[in-house]
Amino acid sequence: MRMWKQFDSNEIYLTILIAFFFVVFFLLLRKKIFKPHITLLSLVWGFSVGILIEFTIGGGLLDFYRVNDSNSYEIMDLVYFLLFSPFGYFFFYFYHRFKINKKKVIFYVFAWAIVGVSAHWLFTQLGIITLQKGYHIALSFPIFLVIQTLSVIFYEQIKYRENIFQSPIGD
Amino acid sequence: MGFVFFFFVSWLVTVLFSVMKKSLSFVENIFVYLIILIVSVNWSWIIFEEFKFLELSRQPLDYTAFLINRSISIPLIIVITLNAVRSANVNGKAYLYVGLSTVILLVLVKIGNFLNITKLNNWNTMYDVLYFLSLHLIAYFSLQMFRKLKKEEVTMS
Repeated sequence: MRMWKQFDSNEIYLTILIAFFFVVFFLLLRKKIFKPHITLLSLVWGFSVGILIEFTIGGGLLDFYRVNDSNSYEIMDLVYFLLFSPFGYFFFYFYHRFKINKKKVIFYVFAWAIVGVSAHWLFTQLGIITLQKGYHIALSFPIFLVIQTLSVIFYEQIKYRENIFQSPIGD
Repeated sequence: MGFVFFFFVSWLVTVLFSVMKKSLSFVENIFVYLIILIVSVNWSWIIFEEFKFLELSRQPLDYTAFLINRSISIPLIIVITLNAVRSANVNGKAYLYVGLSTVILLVLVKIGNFLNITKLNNWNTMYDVLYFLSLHLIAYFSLQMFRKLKKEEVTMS
């Protein structure tokens, strides 16, 4: 396990992206919508879902794409996986902010799936991931649809079971 | 055969977890499950794919059996054990649960070897024992940390 094979453009883009999204996360965090343990859970949710998918289809037997410069595990790969964690929080945050209900949920999941595919496309353009073994970016769409649908179920379940907001009305 | 067995095990632990009396809340159970999932996925990747201490079958069904065990059975067994440990009224009982859970996880490893899903290259069973015991400790301390965070919220408000 090494830091990186060669610190070039993809590592620079990755560093910029992770810094940017964590700044956005901390800015949103100032609104104090969710209780701290729910915020932590949303980060862990984003990170673990990312790790699970990346290590299942992005490596091993399927190995549909390469992260960074080599197929072996680099510290910068971990940085890439960490990129998923603020998105766990963003998903929760906007779900609450846009007051997503049964009528809006299809559009919300669809929109996030589009965001996910676009991010995947951007990562390929920046050289952060390289598609291989005939994998096409469109194949990420059903994966994101499933992930975002599970995220909705997850959010609704925790909201149903306990008070997740810092203030009584969640504002 | 390996796929059938490990699918059955994952189904069994999922049902056991669903029907058992839990001493952790829904959110706590999910949190611990996700933490163990992250460790399990990374650990298996590092020992199988990076250092190649063990060899993994490239047969699709065997490989799927491995994925099911890595992502469902192992984390859920740890979560079930943690629920049992937290409900134990004496320390001895808690240690017994951890020991039993470690033995079950080791048996699963051995069955994986027997069914040719995994093959030992440069590996010792003691490493597995240490790994599974560490998973229990990680689960325990992540729960403690999570509960501490929740408690601080109550104190602050």
